[in-house]
Amino acid sequence: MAMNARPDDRRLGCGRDIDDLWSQISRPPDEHESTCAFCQEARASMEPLARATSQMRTEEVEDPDRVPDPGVLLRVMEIARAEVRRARLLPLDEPEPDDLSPELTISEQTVAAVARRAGDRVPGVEVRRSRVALARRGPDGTPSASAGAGRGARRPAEIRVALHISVSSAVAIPQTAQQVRDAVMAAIKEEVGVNVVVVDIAVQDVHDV
Amino acid sequence: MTSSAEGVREEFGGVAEATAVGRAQDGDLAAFETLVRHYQGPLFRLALRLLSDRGEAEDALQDALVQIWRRLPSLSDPQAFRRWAYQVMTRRCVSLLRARARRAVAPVPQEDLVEVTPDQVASGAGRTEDPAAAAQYQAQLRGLDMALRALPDEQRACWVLRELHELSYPEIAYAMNLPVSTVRGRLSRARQNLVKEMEAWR
Repeated sequence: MAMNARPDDRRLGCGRDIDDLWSQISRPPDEHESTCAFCQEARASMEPLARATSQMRTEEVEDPDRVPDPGVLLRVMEIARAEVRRARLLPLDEPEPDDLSPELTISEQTVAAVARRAGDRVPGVEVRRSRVALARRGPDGTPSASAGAGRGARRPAEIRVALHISVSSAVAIPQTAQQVRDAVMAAIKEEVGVNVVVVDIAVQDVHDV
Repeated sequence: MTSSAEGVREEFGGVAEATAVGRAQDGDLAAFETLVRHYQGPLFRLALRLLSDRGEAEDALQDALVQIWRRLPSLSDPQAFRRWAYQVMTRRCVSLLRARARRAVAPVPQEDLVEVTPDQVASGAGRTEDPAAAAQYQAQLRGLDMALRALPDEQRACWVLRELHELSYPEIAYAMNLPVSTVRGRLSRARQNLVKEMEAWR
């Protein structure tokens, strides 16, 4: 093969880089190549590998022996499901500062899913991320002292929702964001029974351009 | 949008892949399952080429998928899921290969190797008119399979990611945690070694 002895020198005698030749090998030779002895020799030496490689790439995708056992998917999903069940819980009623184990709780995941579905129903919107948290949690994640003002009378918890959405290029973003906000507030009030005080919406992407 | 992109949207439950990734990040199991179904095939084929052992490849795939699930919330760009998934799978395999090298275990026993069956030879023969050429094709494919197993692990990993999974140089660099220039060098050496090995099958 017309290559230098040093393995890292990838120049052919004509000055072309053999890596470039390899990356173009499925295309017909260009003008230089069809008259260059160095290129022709290099191409001829790599052609069996190129053919076998392209065949291997196609065949291995169809090869039933190269499919993982269905048990892998089942075991992975079982682990994921168990971990979702242990996810964080939100209280349904506004917690007192010293109230460590509220009686009625719902998982953050469930509320986030309600918000996600409500947002998805707005035309031209795909909700990517949906996160919820107690509105009055302090910086350390515990309810702040002011939350205890109405001690005695149970009030619905107040939560905030943060959505990342992708929109169709056909919709007007400000109006659509408002529609999403209204839909999310209504759905969570209706289906979960807690008050949404803030819906933060970040438009991350336009999905049909 | 192209029809193939629409086809992929179908696969992720009618939404863009990045949307399915975002939902899975929030713990949406159905969205995560569409991602697993889409990527388990390619990731398994990668592991099988790198490890040459079905059982080990399945264990590595399972470990990688669980790791992907657990670390998903920290993925900042949902568009980067594909290259990130390849990175997790590749690193898992590379670390198993290093452990194997440290133990200096003999090469994989023959019964674990994927054999080229007469059926596959026959179906390959259907692609071309000339039976002699078809037989040579099959011989070359078998030759490539064996030459790949003989490559140093790092060269094989780079080559399989580039040529069978069609990752770009920067994507391979990210998957292998190497500079792009090193990836380029390994791919070049892998190709030289394969060309040499395959001369016997011409």
